[in-house]
Amino acid sequence: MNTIRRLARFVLLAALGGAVAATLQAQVPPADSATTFVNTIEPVWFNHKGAAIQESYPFGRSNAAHNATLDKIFDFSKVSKDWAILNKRFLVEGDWYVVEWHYHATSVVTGRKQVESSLCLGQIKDQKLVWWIEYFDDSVGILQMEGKLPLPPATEEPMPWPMEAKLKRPYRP
Amino acid sequence: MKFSLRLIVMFLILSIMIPLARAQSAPPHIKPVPVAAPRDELTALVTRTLKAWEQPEAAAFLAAFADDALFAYPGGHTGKAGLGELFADLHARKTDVKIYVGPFIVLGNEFVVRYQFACTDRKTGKRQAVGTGVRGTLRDGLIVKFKEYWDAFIPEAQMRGELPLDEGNAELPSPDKVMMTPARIN
Repeated sequence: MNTIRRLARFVLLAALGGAVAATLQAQVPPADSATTFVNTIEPVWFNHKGAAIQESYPFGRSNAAHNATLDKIFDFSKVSKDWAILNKRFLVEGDWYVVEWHYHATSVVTGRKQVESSLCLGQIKDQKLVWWIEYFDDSVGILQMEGKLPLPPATEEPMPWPMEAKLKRPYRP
Repeated sequence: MKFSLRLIVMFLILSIMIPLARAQSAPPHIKPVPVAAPRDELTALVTRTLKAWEQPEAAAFLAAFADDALFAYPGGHTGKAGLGELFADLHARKTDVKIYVGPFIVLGNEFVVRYQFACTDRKTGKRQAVGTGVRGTLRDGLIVKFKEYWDAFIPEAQMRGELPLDEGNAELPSPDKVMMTPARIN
């Protein structure tokens, strides 16, 4: 009977220990987890770039030193205003995450608005961005500000070209 | 002491039986969760579909898309019915198509892949190689959504000889050695 009692006690303690270990494990965020990043500091991702950040845009490459140089020579607020990033759609795997969004901006000179969709990818290390890559077609915003393309409704899923656009372009001109 | 031992044994039996009973009494009308394609099957299908651009026959490309698929790109969108025409139109204007497939990010049936589409214009003989980001969705092993993001200024500048090709670079939207300037930021 003593053996059965010991066995029962062992099973209970093991179950309790397992539950505690699982809880503790869940509470410690892995440093490279993009899920943790997305669920916590992603809304201010631009403040969480690592010192060795590498960036790539349709306009070209950048890094921390190059960003600092651009900040000195270029005042973005003189070009556009009322920036907003809305309608985010995420996808995460391991240390990479993806976000699609609508980028809203208004031209300072003309007052015309653009709502351009982007597909962005970030790689996380120690809860900092080490890669930031953006794909978008810059001509969408320009054509919108020229009144040639419509602004997508706020609820429209981000799309490379507004769904209601009458203007079309061949695939890969 | 016997009483507490009985309690422990009952607890252990119940802890096994209750989940089994719950599983058996689940409402039968609940729709099963869509089965996600295994990651390697998904990436193989999408890679094969992208590489199909290298041949002028559309059959292999079209076979990967569901009848209600949406294909969207900078310039418009189409369903499966218009996809064959889009494929033929590209090959009528371009030749020597090369596709360089980069890394995937996958979650269930959702995926993102980076790739580079390179081709030569039949009229001018000028080549372009454009970094492309795709966000897509599979259903029952077929593509139901395929959204391509790339910048129309890059091929124009390459064909004017103002931007290098950097052909074979599947991981970035623009040529790797070109640093960003404020010229196009808006």
